[in-house]
Amino acid sequence: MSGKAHRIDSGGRIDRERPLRFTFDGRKYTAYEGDTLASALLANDCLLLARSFKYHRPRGVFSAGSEEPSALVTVGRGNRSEPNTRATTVELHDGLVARSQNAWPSLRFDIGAINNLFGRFFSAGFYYKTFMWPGAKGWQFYERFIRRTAGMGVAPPSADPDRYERIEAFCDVLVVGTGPAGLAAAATAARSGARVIIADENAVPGGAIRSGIAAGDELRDWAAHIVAELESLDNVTLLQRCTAFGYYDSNVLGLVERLNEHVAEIPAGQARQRHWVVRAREVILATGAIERPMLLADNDLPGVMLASAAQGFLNEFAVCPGENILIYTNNDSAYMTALALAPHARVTVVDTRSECSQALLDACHGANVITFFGNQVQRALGRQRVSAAALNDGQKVACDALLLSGGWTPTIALHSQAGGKPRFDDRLQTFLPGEPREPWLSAGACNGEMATAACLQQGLAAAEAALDRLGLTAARLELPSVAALEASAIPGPMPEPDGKCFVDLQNDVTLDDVRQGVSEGYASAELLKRYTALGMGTDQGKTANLNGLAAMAALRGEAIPAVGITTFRPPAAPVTMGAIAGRKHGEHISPVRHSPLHAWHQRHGALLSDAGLWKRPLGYPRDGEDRRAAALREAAHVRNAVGCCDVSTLGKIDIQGPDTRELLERLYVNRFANLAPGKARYGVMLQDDGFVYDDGTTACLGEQHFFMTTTTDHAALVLRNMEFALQVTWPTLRAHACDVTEQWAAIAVAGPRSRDLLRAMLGDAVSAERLPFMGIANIPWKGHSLRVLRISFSGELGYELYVPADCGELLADELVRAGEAFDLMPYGLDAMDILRIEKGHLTGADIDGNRTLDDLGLAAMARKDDRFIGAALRQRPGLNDVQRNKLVGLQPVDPQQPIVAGAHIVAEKEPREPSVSLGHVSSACYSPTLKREIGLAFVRGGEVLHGHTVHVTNPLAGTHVAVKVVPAHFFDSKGERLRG
Amino acid sequence: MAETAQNHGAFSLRLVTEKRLHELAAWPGAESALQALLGELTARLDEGSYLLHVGPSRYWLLETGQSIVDASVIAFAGNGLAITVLSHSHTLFKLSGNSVRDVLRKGLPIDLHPAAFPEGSMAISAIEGIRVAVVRNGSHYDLLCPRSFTDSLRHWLLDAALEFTQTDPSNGSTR
Repeated sequence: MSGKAHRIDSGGRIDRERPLRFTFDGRKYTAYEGDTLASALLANDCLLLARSFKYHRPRGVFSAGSEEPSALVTVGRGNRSEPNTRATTVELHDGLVARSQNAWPSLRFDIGAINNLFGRFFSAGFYYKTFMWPGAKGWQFYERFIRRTAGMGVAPPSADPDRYERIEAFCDVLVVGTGPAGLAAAATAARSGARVIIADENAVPGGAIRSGIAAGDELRDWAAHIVAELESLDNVTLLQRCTAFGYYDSNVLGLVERLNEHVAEIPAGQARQRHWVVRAREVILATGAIERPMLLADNDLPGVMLASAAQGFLNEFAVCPGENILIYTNNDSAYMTALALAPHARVTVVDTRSECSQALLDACHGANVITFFGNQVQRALGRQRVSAAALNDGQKVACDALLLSGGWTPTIALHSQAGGKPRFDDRLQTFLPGEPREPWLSAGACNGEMATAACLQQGLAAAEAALDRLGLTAARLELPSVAALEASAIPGPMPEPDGKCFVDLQNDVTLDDVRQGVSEGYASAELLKRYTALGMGTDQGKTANLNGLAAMAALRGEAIPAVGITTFRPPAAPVTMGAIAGRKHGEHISPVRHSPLHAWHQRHGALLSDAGLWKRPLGYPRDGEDRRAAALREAAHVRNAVGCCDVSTLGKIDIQGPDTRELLERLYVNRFANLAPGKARYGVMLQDDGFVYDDGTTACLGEQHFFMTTTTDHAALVLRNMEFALQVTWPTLRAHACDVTEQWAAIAVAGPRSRDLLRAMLGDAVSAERLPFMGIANIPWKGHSLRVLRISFSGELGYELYVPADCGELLADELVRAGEAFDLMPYGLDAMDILRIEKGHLTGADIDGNRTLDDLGLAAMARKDDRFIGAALRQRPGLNDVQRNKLVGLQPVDPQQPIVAGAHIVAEKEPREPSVSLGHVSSACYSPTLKREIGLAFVRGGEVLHGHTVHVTNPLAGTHVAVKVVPAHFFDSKGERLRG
Repeated sequence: MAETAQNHGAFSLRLVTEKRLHELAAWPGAESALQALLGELTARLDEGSYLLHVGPSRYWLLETGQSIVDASVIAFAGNGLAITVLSHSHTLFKLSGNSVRDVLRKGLPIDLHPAAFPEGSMAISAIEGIRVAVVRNGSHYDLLCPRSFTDSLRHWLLDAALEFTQTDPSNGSTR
């Protein structure tokens, strides 16, 4: 033996042939492969691992599993460091680096521990009550200082470099847990031919068998045989290190698998963690139970831990937590721990009851375990580790480990996420699963059954029931016999001590905090949680909640179920953000759409930008040009010569059928019934509520065949609404809509020389006579059909050329080649925006979902028959108020004074806060044609203000610009250029 | 068949550039005409071509071999049926290799187990927000996606395959 907590010479699942080196707070230690960080530090008699959240009290290992509330450490270095990791779940590997957190200058001497001296001032609600002065912003001022002194570990300094994967999985039966019940269920389901996924959060299967709580050689051999069989079956996926954290609707569960956290270096291409989304037909929850701690003063001293944890450390890692061990209990199960530890340490049991079972007592006497009945441990004594326990009768019992066993709390988080309210069991003094709301079955300790033989039977029965629902015949499974000596888990009294007793170790919530919360009226479990933080954090109160509820119930003189239980929500266990995000970060954060001309844009030096998911060219800057200069050059060139622009992203819908005209009449506010073949028409659509949501052009290709274009932004929405109309609203209409957005590449050719260019390329088919304004032509071109629409968004003489998408680059190259003689210049979105603002044409910036036809100056387009979508609700008085904000143009009084979209319009000549907004600027630019700043805006009263001067105010930029309200058409208001 | 390929041993991705895609749809009252056309087409389908049921009274005809959309088929258009050319609108990936299911499982919420998705099965779904049609075609999986997402989906697939295509430093082999 070396030290008080120590490694014993044999046993455990550690590999003594493979020693590992690791550091904790810079100090070097050695341990063995198979150890956790907690077992390794315990084996080295290192008990002080952390400082507590609020009071900076010394803390050690309290449990042996994922329920650990105290031993939170930071593992790893740099960007690979992970804070708030539970030392009990960290598998050791050679070279592991761990450090304590929330302590300065050192873990042993932490200046923050001064908080403990003033602990009585820091009770529940202290921050809320104290830091609210001197005004509403008080808390915002203090918060940063408070957060600096209280809290957990520090997040890594920059992006996590590791890979995280996601997998979509399906199975007949998902079994959560590999204890006796889980293995029995999984083996039965697997042998029956079902597709089975088994998830266990630990590195090694077995649950209570692994930790030794379910004992017996035959049981261990059976478990090993079953695991080997499961691993060999093709219809079984056995996932170790895999935590089920969320149970969602339709039997979808979220699991996170820690693939490569236990290795020193993650192999290339491999992920650190994998997020499983499992769609299971049946789920069997065999999630076990967690020991409930007894309550005593200073119960957070290092060396105080759950009895089951000590048993687990002994059985799995051959670590004995002390040489002189005191167990404080109110139930029989603690005696099994005492018997397990007795060969390795001096063991004393203090039991609040007057007796235990005779068989256990006899066994204890045989093993030299000392027992005190009808007594109580009042306080743990010691400074940074426990050295003794003070009993109720005044005795002090020396000990170097104080183990607590107050009964068992079934792990029902998943049950509760997909089930009704948990039900309270008076016998076990704990909550059991409620009614299922999804097809799950519960088996074993999580079901309140603590006897191993019964757990095995429940696992078997659950599998049989699940298989029956799946229509499968259950295969036979022989169950092992279990150890003759098994302990009852029915708890006796759990007295509340005097002194500082922590109910929730992670959040430093004491019994006094609970008492104060109740006295201040936080009388339900949910309110108490929010007031005190009881049950929050990485452990979600797994060792705290029941004791908190019991204390609350006692204070109110009620039974535990009367105070209720807090709602279980995912995640039931900590999940890294990386696992949730998976590969959706960086370049994979969302898909990107490329136009058929994307490579062409890149070859021609386009400055590409995101437009929704699309990558679109803002412009084609030349050497020395910035974005603005390029846009002004390109826009001016279109006005003076000819330019071409990729408009492939426009929505395109092919509509066929004898009732297509009727459909268009109902979709658009304006007339389409009389649109002749070979002609196109601009149209506007309303939502049901009467607001404008999209505009575009529809061309008539044949009597029953139309080609609609929509805005890029609303391409999917228009198609969806059209499908809804055809399938739901008017299912008898004989029309069919097909999305052809991706089928066609489209290039706008605009400018006074555009016709000359196209005639040189395509001949007389595009002459003014044969292709007038709003005409369309299908022209054979290089073996393809080139669809030409004479329409214009720029206000210039313009065309849109459509070719099958694969031919888009060919068309663009041909345009460039033929365009050399006409000084063709490609232009991007920025230039297009300038051109359309000059013309007063609208985009999504103006049609923002809050505009009526009248707001946009389009009321005259609406038919009088009111047979179109939105016709009824556009009649609402609020939508016809003359004071609505309506479209106008703005010209700064100083022509060179810029205005920005989004800025508000006010009447005041000087900036003033607050001001009454008269509207806002929706679009603005410098017009190279007019050589001045211009803008489009929505202003109260609209054209009534034409000629008036108002002000565009932008408090963020500190500008306040006088502008004149003018009509929204700055250029060629009669449309002579585009019709020419 | 002109195609581009990126082969990483356990996972192979081929981009099929020569293919034809038509949408065949019936408007209300013309469903029987559609069924008649489908019957005729089914009898003439050759290897590498198939029909996908993509919606109510709506099918896609995908062809990678000799085209069967001739004048007799086109004649159906207008007589209760809409026939729309979509050949340029979608990209066809052919995926194969021992790990292809494991790659697809990283983003495709479809049960690809042979018992649930046997030979000839097809489904419309999405991978990371990209609408896809997936077809089990022999030892391959065909994946159709809108052409604008081609680069994104290819990048996603190759990245997803990384864990199966990295060289194992311990033995130098490609898994």
